[in-house]
Amino acid sequence: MSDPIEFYRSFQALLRGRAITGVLTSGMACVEYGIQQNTKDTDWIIAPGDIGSLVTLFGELERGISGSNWRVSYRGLFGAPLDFKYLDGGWTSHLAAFDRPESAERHLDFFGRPPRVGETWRNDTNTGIASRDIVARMKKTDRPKDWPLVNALAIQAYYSGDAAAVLHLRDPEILREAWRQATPASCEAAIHERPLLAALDSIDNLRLERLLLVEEMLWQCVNRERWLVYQRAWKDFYKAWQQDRVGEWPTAEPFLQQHGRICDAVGRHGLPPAPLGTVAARQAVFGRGRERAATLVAATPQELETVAMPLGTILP
Amino acid sequence: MTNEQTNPTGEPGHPADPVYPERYYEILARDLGEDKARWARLPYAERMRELAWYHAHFNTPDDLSPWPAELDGGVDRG
Repeated sequence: MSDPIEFYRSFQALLRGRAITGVLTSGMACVEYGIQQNTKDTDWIIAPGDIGSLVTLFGELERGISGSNWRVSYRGLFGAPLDFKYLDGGWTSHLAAFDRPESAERHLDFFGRPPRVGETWRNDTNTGIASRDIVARMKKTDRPKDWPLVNALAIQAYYSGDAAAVLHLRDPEILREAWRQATPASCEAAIHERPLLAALDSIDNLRLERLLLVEEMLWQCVNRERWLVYQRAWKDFYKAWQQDRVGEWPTAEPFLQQHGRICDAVGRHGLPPAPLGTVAARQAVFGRGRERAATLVAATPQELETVAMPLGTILP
Repeated sequence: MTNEQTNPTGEPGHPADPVYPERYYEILARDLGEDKARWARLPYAERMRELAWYHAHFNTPDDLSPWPAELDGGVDRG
């Protein structure tokens, strides 16, 4: 089995077989939507309450209880253990797996509370693939190359009749068209989530493009500040952990031993489960991101006020 | 708002295989490149067959990197 698409489907079947609630998201979901060709990683949103079952599943796969023997390991980049309180606190976990002796190394990334996404991903569990709306939210990262994917997902959503398209469209012409067709009932909620929409009817296309640029920069800068908080917490933890143990992470041990080791370490060395668990912490991240965005694109206070999304939208 | 048509070659259990208006593919070509736009026009099953062929013959990179140099006529993994 060399095909990453076959791999994700077989893994999805394993999740379903264990009644683990989860959906495929990010790059491989974009492959399914016909937007992206070249990813091998599979990213999953898993209900934090089912994380324990996922750990058990990986242990059984390594022991060959559910078929062929897998090799599963944490990966050597910053990420938390597969543990309820960490994934519920916004961390991600990064694993590598070999599903057969001759297979390629599979990369699996797990979110419990994905960035920029609330609980609505649970509506997609029947299809097993996150909706275009959810994937578009997750793609509003600090990587400029993700933003054309946001627009493509939004255009697909628009032509599929999904009212959420107006929250993500980046193409001025299609955004105006979609906004004209939005129902009055949906407009209020959409403006709350994306304040730029309130200005649509009173600005020309050049001004709209300018505001789209400021809006994108705000998403990017706040996401960067969010990411830096988690990275700093991981670095501090890892430094402390390295001082009292010998060797490299990840170890060559079976997955459940690795898992026990890192769960013990995060407890002993104080990796915070929810670095952005308070409103004050999220407000601070938003403030720093806003300041950076203002500097990078020379945005005026009025422009920032026009596009600034609520804290609950950008840092739920 | 529903210009979407469903292509009958879509596989059950996977996203519907709509054909979008031409301007969608033009935006893909502008933002992501002509090859991605060409691939996106294919029916779902053909898109997946093409990717399976690439994965079987080339060591393609992870996550959002550009296609590797060997796809421009270089080294076959086999």
